Parts: sequence; structure tokens; C-alpha cells
Amino acid sequence: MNSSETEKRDIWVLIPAYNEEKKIFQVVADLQRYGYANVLVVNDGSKDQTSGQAKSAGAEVLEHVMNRGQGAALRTGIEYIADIYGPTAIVTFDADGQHQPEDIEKLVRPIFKNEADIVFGSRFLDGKTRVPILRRIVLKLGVLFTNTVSNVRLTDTHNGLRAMGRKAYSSIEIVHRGMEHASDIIDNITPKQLRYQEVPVTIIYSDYSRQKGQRTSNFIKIGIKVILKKLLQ
Amino acid sequence: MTLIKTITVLFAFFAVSRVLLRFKEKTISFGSFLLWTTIWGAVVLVVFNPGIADQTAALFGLQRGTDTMFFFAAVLLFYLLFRLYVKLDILDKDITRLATNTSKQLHGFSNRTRKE
Repeated sequence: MNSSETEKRDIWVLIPAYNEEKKIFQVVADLQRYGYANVLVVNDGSKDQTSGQAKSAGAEVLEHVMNRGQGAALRTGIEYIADIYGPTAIVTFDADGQHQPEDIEKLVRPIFKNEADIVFGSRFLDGKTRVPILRRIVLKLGVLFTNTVSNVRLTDTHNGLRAMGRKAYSSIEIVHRGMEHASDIIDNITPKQLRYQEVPVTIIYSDYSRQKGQRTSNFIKIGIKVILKKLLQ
Repeated sequence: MTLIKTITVLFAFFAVSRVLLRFKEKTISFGSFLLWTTIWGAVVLVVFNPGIADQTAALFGLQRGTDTMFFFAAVLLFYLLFRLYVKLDILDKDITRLATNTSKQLHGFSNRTRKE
């Protein structure tokens, strides 16, 4: 067994999933094909066969009895993996097939080399991802706002593909149960003194992921919610 | 008795009876029981003695009793809305925590069952 294989055994890939029966099997199978055997799917109260599909692809599955949102599903998964397995890295990965398993290697490298506690994937660093113009504008406004209020320098603050080392996953507090969790995670960097890095990743926008993913109007709603919460704090 | 007085008294009686019922069921605290009984008592008092509202208005530097009534009603409503929002937020967080804990327990239980 080479060092890369040993490292892969020390990584858990966490996938929050809601009504993803069409894609989840392929997503888990692709991860396993790349050598990531440890895959945890948190089925967030799906009404379809997400759970069965994930299990038959070889994932371990936790069930939320009702839909509580992606932030809540991530918190459940992180707590479970931390308590039961305590790996060197937890990678959060989307269930709709827009993330690429080959990017995980780049994400976890700084953690295994002890150069970072948390590594964010960025779709804007290498120009390979074709982001629709309206979404690009909204995402960039989100980046500007988050960087200012959270005192960080990131180019893509709302990318679900990220890796957390032990210090990060055991100290980060996800407060919001919905999509605002991305800001929660970033908010933890400065107060918890986490070392962070950003690496280029590729996001593939398919018809399915566009249909399943966040609408641009939702990004705006999330932005307003986050701003209001910040102002009230 | 004018129609407005009759309606106010009947509604206040109905509201206080609901409050009393909730207090007997122990679904509200003594503090909440006292708060709501006082509010409805004050409403009945003002309806029968409108002069009280005018006196209160003078006390607060307002000209009309009805202005004072609306002012206090608005303040009370905003406060109750805030309390409701806080309680809903706590409830929402509790449900999420419950979902997280249940999922972990169910998973542990099904794993143990499989192993047995």
C-alpha cells in the first residue's frame, strides 16, 4: 500500500443529500473508483430512494427523520465522523455531481503536510469553470461581503467543496441549518485561529445540477439573511 | 351598555377564560397568566372609563387618550412578536438538534442490530 492509499483511508468524504436518487449512486461510485472508500451520506429527510441508492453504492448513510437543511446535515455528518472515526481530513462534497473526485487530492494535500487546517475549493482560481454571468456577479458580491466581515481573503466563499483537518472540524460551529452554513464556516477561521488555503477546483454545471442547485435568487436571499444576522449580532 | 362595551367585555371574558384554562393545564407560567389577565383587565377598565386613557396621555405628554392606547398597543405587539421570534428560533434549533441526535442513535442501533 503506497502513501497515497494510506492517506485516502484517513479521509472521510461527507455528502449531504436531499432527493438525489438520480445522481447519488454515480457520485459515491465515482469517489470509490478514485480510492475514497470512506463516504458518509447524510440523507436529509429525502422523499425518494436517495438512501437506498447511496447504500448500494457502498456509502455509510445517516438519516435525518425530516428535512433540516444542508447546514444541519453537514453538522450531523461532521459530529458523527469526528466521534466515530476522527480522520485526518473530512471533505465536504455535493451530491448533485458538480464536484470532481480528482480535486480532493489537491484539497487534502496542505492538511496532510500540516500547512493548513482548512482548505477551500475555488472555481475562480484557474478559469476552468464556466460560471454563468449572473451567478458570477452574485457570488463575487458574496465574496466581497464575506471577506470584509470575516477578515479573510478568499476568492470563492460559497463553494461546497472543502477539506477540514482535525483542528478545524472539531472546533468549527455551524450555526445555520440552511445554506448560510458556508458563511458560518468562514466566520470560524479568525476566532479559532485556523490556517486556511484555497486551491483551484472545477465545478461542472449540468442541467441537473442547475435544476437541483441553488437558484441565483436564493443566493440573494441567503445574502440578505446573512447581512441581517451580522447586523443583529 | 353600548355595543363596543358589550363586545369588549365578552371578548375579554373569553380571552381570560382561555388564559385561565392554559394556566390550569400548566401550559403557561404564572407570569404569563398575570400578564394576560392584567392586559385584558386594563382593556375593560379603559372601555368603561375612557378618562383613564386621557389621564395616562397627559402623564406621557400626549394629547389624546386614543394615541396613548395605540402607542402602548404597538409597543406591546412588537415586544410579543420579538418574544415569539426568539421562541421559534429556539424551537427550530431544538428540532435540528433532535434530528441530528436521532440520526446518530438510529444509525448506531441499526449497526448493532446488523452485527447481532
